[in-house]
Amino acid sequence: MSSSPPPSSAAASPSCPKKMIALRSSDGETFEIEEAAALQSKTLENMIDEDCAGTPIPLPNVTGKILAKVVEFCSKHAEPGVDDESLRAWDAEFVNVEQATVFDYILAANFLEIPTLLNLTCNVVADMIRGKTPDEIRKFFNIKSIFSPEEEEEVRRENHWAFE
Amino acid sequence: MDDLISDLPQSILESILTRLPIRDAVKTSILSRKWRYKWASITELVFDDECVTSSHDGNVVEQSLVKFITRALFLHHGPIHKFQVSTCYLQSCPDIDQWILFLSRDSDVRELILKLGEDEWVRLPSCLFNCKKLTHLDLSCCELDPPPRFKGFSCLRSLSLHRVLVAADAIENLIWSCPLLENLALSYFDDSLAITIRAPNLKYLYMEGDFTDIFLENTPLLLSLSVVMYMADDVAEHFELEQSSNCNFVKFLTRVPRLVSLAGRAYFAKYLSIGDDPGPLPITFDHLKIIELFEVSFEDMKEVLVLLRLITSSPNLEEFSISAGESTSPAEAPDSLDIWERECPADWTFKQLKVVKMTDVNGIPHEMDLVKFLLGSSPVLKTMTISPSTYFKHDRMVMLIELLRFRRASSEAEIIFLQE
Repeated sequence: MSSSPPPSSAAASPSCPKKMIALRSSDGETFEIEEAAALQSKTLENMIDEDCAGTPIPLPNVTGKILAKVVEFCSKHAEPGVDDESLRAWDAEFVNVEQATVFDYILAANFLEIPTLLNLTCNVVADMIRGKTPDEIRKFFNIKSIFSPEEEEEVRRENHWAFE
Repeated sequence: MDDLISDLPQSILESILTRLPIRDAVKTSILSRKWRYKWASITELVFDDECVTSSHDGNVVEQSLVKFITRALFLHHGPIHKFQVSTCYLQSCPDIDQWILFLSRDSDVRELILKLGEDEWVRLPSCLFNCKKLTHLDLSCCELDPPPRFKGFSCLRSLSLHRVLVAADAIENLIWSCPLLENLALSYFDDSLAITIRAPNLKYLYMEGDFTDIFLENTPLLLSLSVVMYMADDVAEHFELEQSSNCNFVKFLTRVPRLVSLAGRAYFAKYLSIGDDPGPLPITFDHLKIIELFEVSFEDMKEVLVLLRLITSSPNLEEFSISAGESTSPAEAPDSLDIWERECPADWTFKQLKVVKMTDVNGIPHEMDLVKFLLGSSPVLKTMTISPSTYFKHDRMVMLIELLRFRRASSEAEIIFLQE
């Protein structure tokens, strides 16, 4: 147990209100997030440092629908006292969504530089690819293969050592 | 539904592709024209048992693996930050030289991990030492021979050498010449080794194997130390007979005042006990929170004294684990039994000690005295777990009855006695 007082204003005691940061999505919705949760995002951390007197931080690359979920994720991960196993289970539920949403999360995590969310979502996509044949992968992600038969043959020859 | 994956920025694709086994990553080349070379610019190349073809013939597997790695390197373009080959199927093969030469030419590589088969140890080429940007070097089952003019890896933070054939002074110089080194793991060198470690930024040290001597000459920032020290029987006997007054305990531990965690197994306690008892130590380990000592010989008064000095120099200890070694020598004469009363500072308290685990307990007097001392001086103790040794032939009831009488400083302390 630490005997020194909490270092930042973000660590709240019941009597002292937590500092909230306002965010605005690309479609004009505003969201509030606790400072401790916002610090999960390196992008937001930098912006908070250059504090602009509490005006909502505009995030032109993230829609309201996704920003709401990102705020939820960061808040959960900033919660004290959650054990690893429950957090993992929560994460698994969080990414149990349709493919398009997973990619929205990836892009948001990338833009906002949230390593935990990026890790989680990239693992999900890697799991979608692992073990599938090329045809299965194309079908799953709707990838249009516009190889001519000669090109395809060339690629196979180039990488035959991987397909053996 | 649209194709959302193919147009992802390369940095994200890199993050996804590096989570796949490399074979799967290369196979994405066939997905579409856009995908043909996406795999080829990933910055991490990891070749492990997952990319091995299934075959019962070790030679075939090795050949196929060598071909795979060579082709992958040849088709790769752009920087390689991490290169890992960790598979037992690769024994000595000359291609390793070329792979390392390839990496050392651009010298972008930051992490290099080579864990090879145990049968034949490859001698790594000297171009390895041209990889100036290395931050992590992890080698297993190979031979290392730094060139005489080698000035060190100026960026190296982490070094791990396991079963590496290298001269003692070469390792010492290597460690000394890497000024940023924080993490060091040394295990199982070919001969028993006496080693001196000079690493002013070292924080984590792990050593396992046959060491005749370990001298931490310059490691003032060390936070975590873990030693598994084996000794050949003749070396151990030599230590018994040696009448050196130079106390190993003082020599070893007083140069690491910032230690947070200490773990020692096998002969470690015995090694520390060599030399004369220093009396109460001049320094305290104010930061030492976790002590784990295994295979301590409770019948050897000198080892018990080392234990006593160590714990009574650690006022902020939070977790303490200890196990008894096999009883080798006959029990000590009774007049040594009052050392706990004599040598422990009066009114000593462990202000932070919460968890104690004792395993392989034999119920012998020094062990019981330790339990009594801990119970009586730990006001915030939560649990003490005691597991008897399988050789414990004496009446366990006798031990439990004695235990019950001990005064407890913590009203919340639970004593948990584990049966098998």
